[in-house]
Amino acid sequence: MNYLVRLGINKLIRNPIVSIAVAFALSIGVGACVTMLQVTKALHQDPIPGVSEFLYTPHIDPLPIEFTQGDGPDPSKNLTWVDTQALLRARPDLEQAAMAGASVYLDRQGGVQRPRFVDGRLATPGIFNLFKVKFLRGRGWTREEEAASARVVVISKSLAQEVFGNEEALGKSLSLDGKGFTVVGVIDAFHPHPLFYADASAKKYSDEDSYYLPLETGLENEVQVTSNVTGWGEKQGDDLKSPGATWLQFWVRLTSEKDIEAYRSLLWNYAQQQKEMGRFERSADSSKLISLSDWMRLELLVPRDIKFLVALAFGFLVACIVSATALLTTEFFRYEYELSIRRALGATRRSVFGQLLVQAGIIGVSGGVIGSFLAWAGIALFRARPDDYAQLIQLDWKAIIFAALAGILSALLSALLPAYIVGKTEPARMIKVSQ
Amino acid sequence: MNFHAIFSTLRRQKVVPLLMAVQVAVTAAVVFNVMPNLLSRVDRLSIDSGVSDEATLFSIKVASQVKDAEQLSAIRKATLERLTQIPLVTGSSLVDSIPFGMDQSSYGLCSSREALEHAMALRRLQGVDGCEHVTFVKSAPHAVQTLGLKLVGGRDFSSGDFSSTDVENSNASGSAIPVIISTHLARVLFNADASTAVGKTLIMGSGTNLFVVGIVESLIAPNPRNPEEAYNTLLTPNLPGDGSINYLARARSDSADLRNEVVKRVLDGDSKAILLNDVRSFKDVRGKFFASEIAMSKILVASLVSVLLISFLTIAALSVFWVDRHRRIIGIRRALGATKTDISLYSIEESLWITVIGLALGGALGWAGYVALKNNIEVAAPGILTDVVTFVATILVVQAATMFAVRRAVSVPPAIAARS
Repeated sequence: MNYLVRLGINKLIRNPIVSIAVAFALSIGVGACVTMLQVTKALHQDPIPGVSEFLYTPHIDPLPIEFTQGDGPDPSKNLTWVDTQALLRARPDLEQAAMAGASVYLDRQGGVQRPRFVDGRLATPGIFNLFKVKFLRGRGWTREEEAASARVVVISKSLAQEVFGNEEALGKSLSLDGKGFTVVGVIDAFHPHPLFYADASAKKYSDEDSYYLPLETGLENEVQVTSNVTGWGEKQGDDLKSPGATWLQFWVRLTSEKDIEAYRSLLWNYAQQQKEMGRFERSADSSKLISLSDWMRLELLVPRDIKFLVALAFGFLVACIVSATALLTTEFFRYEYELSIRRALGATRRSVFGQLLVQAGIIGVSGGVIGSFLAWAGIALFRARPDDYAQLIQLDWKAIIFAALAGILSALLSALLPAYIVGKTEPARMIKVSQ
Repeated sequence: MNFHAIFSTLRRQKVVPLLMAVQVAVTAAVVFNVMPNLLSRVDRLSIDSGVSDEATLFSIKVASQVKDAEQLSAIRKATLERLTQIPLVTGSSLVDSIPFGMDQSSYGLCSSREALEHAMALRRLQGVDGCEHVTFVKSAPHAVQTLGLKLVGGRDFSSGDFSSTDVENSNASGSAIPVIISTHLARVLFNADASTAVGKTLIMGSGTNLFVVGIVESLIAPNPRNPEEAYNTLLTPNLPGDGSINYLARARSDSADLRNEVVKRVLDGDSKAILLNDVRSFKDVRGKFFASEIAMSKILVASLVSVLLISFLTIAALSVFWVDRHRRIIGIRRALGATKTDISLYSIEESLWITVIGLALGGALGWAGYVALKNNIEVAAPGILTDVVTFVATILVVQAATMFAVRRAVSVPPAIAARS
């Protein structure tokens, strides 16, 4: 083996051009694949490690049967106020919350240099326990505060830092939409990627919530809702509490198979009851309990462009392997004379075959190394893309090891055919032909 | 024709021609699938907005905190005047939404009360003759002119048309509102053209009546995601009393100074106005709308170039190698009287046959790839144009790559045949 490696290196040094070309060809294919794998990986992150696996979103479809939608997102993906309230009441023992996106005007105050609209979330009190959000200071709001539409707010660490600097934020008043809200809690950085609980109108990889307001408080103060609001029926669209308008998202944490089944039947029974009452037109079978992982598969989250590019990258790798096979064929045929002498001097067919594969392996390692550099460059280019997930793409050591292995593997694959053909040459014939 | 000679050679010496054909096939399969996706994107990037000369039209989106309607209207009027006083600015106006600006308001509209009642009974607009989802662009005086929309029928709004009543707040009892519609809308609503649609009336879900005073050739919606409704647009002669609004300025230059001056003059009249973005040319706005598509197109172009380049180099190397292995045979042919032209024609024909086999293989492979992709994701379908482009590009690359080998073959001296 040692001898074969030395032989291989020797060959590479003496006539490097074709080998370099092969390494480059392979590296382009490997680089493209590693880049796309990292992009895909960034799009498949676990949004809240340790919690995600237990999260479910209930879906019941209150839309009239005749309802057809225009160009917008599907309104049946959100829930109505009435239905979320019913669900919250049905199982008060569970960790669950209804929520919606919000946008408020942050006026010049404290350290705010640039007045602007900032994104946040309206939610029922359970949201913090549901997602296991860590509080740095203070607490969430209580059900009583929610019911009384208390002007309280929980803010993110970065908003606290921006407005109040190093001062204590707790108990201070924060002006939103020109109204004062008392800060009752400051939470640690909390940025699930993707922001799965935001609805279809959000940028799921870049939007962040700077504050959380009680849902009732938000409605009372006419905070602008950024979730997609769809109303139907007689003039009911404007009223967010109307049973004819969907706009809320709802998540619940269910830890056991039994709970999941119980919740499913709760949903079905509720939908059935509403249908019997004449409010729902669709069958109760349209109610669904969707796990977060299914939700991400259904809804989100890997853009079709990315899927196409992944397929393209692998097509590219195939083209590069064919190209490497072709180049190695021309290269190995040049050794015919020399190899036949080795064979004549007693080297076995296997040893000759091995020599060629070892040489290909060395080329493959270099291809993998160059490939990781190309992947690094590819990822840098990807990060400059305008898409909101771009910033999440990274090159890690696993990807580099993968690149090296992919390089070796594809080089060996490329070398199989030429090494087999050249390796089986009869020694005497070659010596006779070439002189 | 050297058909017989070529194929008997190819039968005996399989490896190199086979590799060439496979390389051609894989390349063609990749190009075959990338090309339609690239071309359909490039098509979309240059879609007509109806706005003339997008590089010289600037907009800035502003939200005012002034709630009083009269005060707001005075501020807007004064600001427009200040904007036209900027040197090189030739016109200014206001609209609530701009092409590719994303934010849009759409309403259901029908060409007759019967159609509306029919739609209401069905509780939907889709499929009801004479009813459409239409995007409204609410405008101030001179909007048609400032946007550079081409008026092909009827007239522009006159000063008497403008009112402070928003279409959203008007109803059946109010007077009919004059509107300017796109030719596309005239066609889908009335089955009419620019001359016959003028004077026709429209009815909104709320019962509000509209009547057509003018037709513009084209105007795209701010967020034209659905191609069928992209040009379902009309202009109304009023502005919303709240929410954000776009100031427009048509200018004969594009400089940082001009952009700063626009910001300054907007803030001069309303110091508490919130600027929702920088001053942008319509070209910038279009670029931003299509940013992701542009980035994707660049990646696709880069992949096409790389795959063609790799296959160019590979085929060049293979064909040179092929000629080198056949120097003696070529020499014998030369010695037997073949001219240099004969040799080069023979080589070219040989590579053409290999390309044809490769392309047939590649077509099948590419089609299989397309079917596999289509079942999993939405991809653009290959058409005649993209197929032809794929085949021509591949043949050209292969022919260019084999030129080195052809020249090498031609230069083989006949004397080589004499050597043993």
